[in-house]
Amino acid sequence: MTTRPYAWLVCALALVGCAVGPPRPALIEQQHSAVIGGALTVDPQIEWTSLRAEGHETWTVDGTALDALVFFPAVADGEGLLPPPAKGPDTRPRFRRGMSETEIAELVVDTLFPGRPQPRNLRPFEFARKPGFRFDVDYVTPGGLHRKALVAGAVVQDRLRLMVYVAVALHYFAEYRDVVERILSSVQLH
Amino acid sequence: MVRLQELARSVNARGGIGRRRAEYLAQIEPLLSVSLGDEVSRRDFPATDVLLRRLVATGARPGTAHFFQGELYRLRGLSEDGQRAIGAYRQALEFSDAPPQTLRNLGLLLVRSDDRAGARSALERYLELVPDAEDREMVKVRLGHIEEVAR
Repeated sequence: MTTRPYAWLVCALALVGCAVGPPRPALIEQQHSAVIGGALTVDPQIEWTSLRAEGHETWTVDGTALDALVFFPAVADGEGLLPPPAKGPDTRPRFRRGMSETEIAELVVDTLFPGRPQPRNLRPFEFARKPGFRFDVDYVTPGGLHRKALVAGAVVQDRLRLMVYVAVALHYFAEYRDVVERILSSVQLH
Repeated sequence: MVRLQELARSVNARGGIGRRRAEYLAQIEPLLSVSLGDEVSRRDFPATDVLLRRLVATGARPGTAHFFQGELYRLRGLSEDGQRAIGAYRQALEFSDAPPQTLRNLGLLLVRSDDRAGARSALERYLELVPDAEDREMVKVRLGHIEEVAR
């Protein structure tokens, strides 16, 4: 099993925090639409705690170690999903304009999940009312924890718009799955 | 250094590395694709390039070796790497051990380089070879786009 510099669990805090300091949690209220990164609007369905960072925003109910809904609202050509490492070579996979959905799935998996799990059931999906894609990921962390993820997105105006729901397979993934599906249906370009 | 020289003498006394090479390759063969996939995904492209050139030079699993050379070029994404990847995938397909993903990745690159006939042929062959592919529906959408543009 390969250990990646950006593996999900290894950098769970880096994902929600950044070089500029610790993230400031904010309450996402159930009844108000939320604007993500000035680019996407979603209906939260329930209350979440939000942690904003450069290029992405993470929502959680029980803590990011158990469940996390991560939005990447507008990844530009040549950018990675996560910020560059503070030190060492920058070997992040990058989003490139013109990438196929297969390559985007590979980019997501290589960036976020340990052990290079295979994207499953990559299929067409309408995201933010635009032709997009979705796929599933099933993996075991280096510590032996079984996790599941649901990934959906689209490339709109040459930018990758992405939503990733990842949670512990036991109890947590199913607990918020229906909520996440409703949020997914509510995504719009801002 | 002395210890390495001792080991080298010991190996040579037993007939050298080549004598058991086939046995060694047979042992690692089931793991080769997974290992090379992990290697390429590290994105340490100069080191992986050396490794793959050596593997190609041995002549062992040539379809697999050329496929991963194509993967390296595709992921590295330098200005000529798209064409290099297409060339490597085509070389891989000359050998029976090329993985089916060679056809898919070749087809997707050919879409980008506007070779619609080549792309359609490669993607259709991929779906024939892997009828239950995890990305079947997405590949069918790509084929649909090719048809639309051709009309």
